Amino acid sequence: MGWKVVHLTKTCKIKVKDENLLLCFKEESNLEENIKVSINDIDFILFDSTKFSITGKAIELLNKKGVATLFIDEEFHPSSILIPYHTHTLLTEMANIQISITQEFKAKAWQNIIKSKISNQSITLKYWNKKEFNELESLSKKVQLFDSNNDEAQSARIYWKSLFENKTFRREQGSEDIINSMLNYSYAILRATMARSLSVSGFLPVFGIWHQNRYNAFNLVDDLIEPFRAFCDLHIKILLNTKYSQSLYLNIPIKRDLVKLLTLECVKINGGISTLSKAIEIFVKNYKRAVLKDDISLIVFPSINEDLFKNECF
Amino acid sequence: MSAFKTMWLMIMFDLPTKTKKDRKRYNWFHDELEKEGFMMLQYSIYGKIFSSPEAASYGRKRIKEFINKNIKKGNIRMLMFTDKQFANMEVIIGQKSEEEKNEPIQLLLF
Repeated sequence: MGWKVVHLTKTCKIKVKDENLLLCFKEESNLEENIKVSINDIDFILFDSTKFSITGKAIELLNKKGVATLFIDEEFHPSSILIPYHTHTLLTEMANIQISITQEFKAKAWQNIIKSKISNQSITLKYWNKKEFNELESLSKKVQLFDSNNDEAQSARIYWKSLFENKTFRREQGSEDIINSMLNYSYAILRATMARSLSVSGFLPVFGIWHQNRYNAFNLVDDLIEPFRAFCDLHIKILLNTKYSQSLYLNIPIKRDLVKLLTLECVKINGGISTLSKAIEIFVKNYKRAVLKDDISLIVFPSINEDLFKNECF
Repeated sequence: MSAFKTMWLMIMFDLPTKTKKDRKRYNWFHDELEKEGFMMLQYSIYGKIFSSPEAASYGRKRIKEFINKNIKKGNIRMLMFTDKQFANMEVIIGQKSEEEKNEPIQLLLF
């Protein structure tokens, strides 16, 4: 899988030439500028404009090479993603394995996912010198099987209030305020990357471990991105405090900084440091091993590499 | 920019083009390089950037394999160096192409 992230906001035509993606931009002076990007190198591509046209061949190749692709609707919110349909050779076998995952495995997996999520939230609060991080840390230690005490909701209540110092702040999916729209945007990117990784590994994202929503095609994705959400929160808080304290709406420079998160080496995983998009891949790979061997201890969880955020100048 | 150890792989070649068969082989080689994602720096000089030395070594192996299978005559050289060394390359006449300027960036914005 590739290592480049492409963010398209200009009007352009997308074609394929020699198995490379050819991006044709029309300049004002009627000159065409063609840029060639090798599809093998692309990890994530974000079409952040509705003014583009793309050939069928290009879509087919993006799918075949397992590129995470995200499209935008008219309101510039992420709306749809491409995921490979039948590329994995052991698709039926994987589906059968997924269906037969034991309740015990699910219970422990969900417990550990929530543990990891809360502890990453706690690291985020610690980074901003909020005293509530202690509370979250102790919460994360006592998460039960299947999170039966609902510690996730309890931590969220403390976390959002403390992080954005705003009593009236409410985390909502449909909200138009700057904080919520930044969060929604970067979660959508995260979700697309996770969906791609799962799909490429042969998982069917409909069978979740905790999320069982009958209307949701990405239950498993929504399960597995939980530990990664805090990375977005921390990044967004930094952007809001430094560069965009005056911004009211999501504009292109903000979006670019949000996309940039995928290429930052901000994750400590498996004893090393890795970029966010690579870390998601590692996480899915290990999750798959855990599922196949029915051994919960094989899952490796990500934690935040605070040093990067300290050194990063925005 | 993260601490990616980007590496360049450069291929320089002379292939015979006298007979029809030779020209066909030449074109095949050119197409194959384009498919692999190499870009033309100059005629008969192609380069590609890789995310790590390991990826570059793997790329080198792949190219070698398909050359050895199909080409017997001519002269092909391959060179691997770091992105910094590439950036230090002096262009005396002419200029760097748009793609060349874009390549080393991990985040492509348009």
